[in-house]
Amino acid sequence: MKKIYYTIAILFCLGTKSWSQTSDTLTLKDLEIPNSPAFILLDQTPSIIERPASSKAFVLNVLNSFQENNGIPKNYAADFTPFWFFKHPNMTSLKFAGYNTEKNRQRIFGNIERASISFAFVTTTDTLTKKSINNLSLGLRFNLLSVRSKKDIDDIKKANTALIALIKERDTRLNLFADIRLAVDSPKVYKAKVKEFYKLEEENLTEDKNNLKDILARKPVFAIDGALGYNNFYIDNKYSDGHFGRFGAWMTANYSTHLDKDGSGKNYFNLYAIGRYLSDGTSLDNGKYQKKNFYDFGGKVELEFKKISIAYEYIYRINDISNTFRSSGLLKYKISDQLFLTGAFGKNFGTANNLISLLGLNWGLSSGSEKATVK
Amino acid sequence: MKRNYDTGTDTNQIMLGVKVGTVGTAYTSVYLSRSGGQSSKIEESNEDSGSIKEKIIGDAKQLKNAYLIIRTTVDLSNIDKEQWENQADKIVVKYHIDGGFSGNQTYNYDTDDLDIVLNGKVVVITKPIELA
Repeated sequence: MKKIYYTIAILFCLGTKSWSQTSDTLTLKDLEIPNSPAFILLDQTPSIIERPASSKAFVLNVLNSFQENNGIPKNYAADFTPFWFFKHPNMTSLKFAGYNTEKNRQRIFGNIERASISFAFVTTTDTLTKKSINNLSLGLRFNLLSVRSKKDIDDIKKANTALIALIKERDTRLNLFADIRLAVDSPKVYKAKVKEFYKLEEENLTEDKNNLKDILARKPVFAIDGALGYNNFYIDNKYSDGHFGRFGAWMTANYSTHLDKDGSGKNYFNLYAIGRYLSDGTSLDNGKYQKKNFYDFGGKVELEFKKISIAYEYIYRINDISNTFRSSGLLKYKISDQLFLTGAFGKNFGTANNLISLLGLNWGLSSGSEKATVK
Repeated sequence: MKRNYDTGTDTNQIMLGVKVGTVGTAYTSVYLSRSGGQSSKIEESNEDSGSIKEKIIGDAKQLKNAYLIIRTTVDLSNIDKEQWENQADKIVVKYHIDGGFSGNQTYNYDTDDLDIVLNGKVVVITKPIELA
């Protein structure tokens, strides 16, 4: 529990106004274990192979680890999706859902416009010199291609039609409640009537029948994601002692199949394949940092259920001197609707300091509206 | 805020089109309202979007001194709740009128045309245009 308060207190000190709704509360959904490219580049994530979650305007991520820091997180990532900050004059709900009504086919490249930019700050300690190393990282991630099943597309269209029918039916009832002419003769009365009508609707609302959002959350059958990352690092908090750290570019292909018979549940079998180019400038040789090139190839197999997901990933790294690999298991468990536990254990690349042991909590994934008072 | 469009007095055909851009699910209905008379729905959007392609709504003589009242309702329940407020600001609605004395005109909605209801999930935009 102490960790939660430390985390919240630190975020508050950094100036929480930009991501909290009020000055003394934080939305717990803002605190998530990062899977942004800026973090992945530094090999600081539970898994290298990750699919982006639904894009948000701005998310601050905090990664805590049992490795160091006495429980106080020193590693942060911020994700930012420019799409949400602009107007889209040609956007429709079906287009947003990945369907082109004019051409009557899927918009398989439609998610590129929702590319996200990420920043990460990771503090580590050099194993030889024991000096602190501050990593500053920048990343870009995009979904290049998404192919949904025919059933998902049909369900999206049906849900959209049903929602339009509901809006239209409300519009008709609103006319009986408030004469539309009021919008001309008495705009203030008209506005008050509209508010009153929807207040009554809210009171009579038993359940939200629209399941469009749930259908959109289903995984596509096949997807290809791309990412780029660049990192600079600074030794002992000195700007003058800054060096190129890493540059990486990678593509992930993902095949998902439903484990539910009706194809609409939350149980999946996922297969991933990754190819990554990495230029690493963090190796010290004769007092100078040397640049090395790596080529990573690997995959991940994942069983994803409503409560738990289990995964194993293996990445083989080819470089100029000796080849190495990363092998790790990953477990995600839903403790309650508001609390998730994520852990990873395994071997990282190289032979020194290569233990992967990460454990973290995700809060409030169910609704995101839960709040914690900052003490 | 009310806008004006001069139709003229001839038998020229007046065209109306509505273009809606939003990630939410939108529906638009267009009403023709005459002073002292009833308002009637003359156009509505289809299942594809909240937009209405340019259509003839009558001739200038017929429409003169009437009001077009265009109501667009946007439901944002297909996106995360925390995006509702942000996306309510990003809705684009453009009203195109052509064929009258004022020529080809495009109007945007004004802030006082907008009502955010159901805790931000639904946005109602009502634009009255006087056909002078």
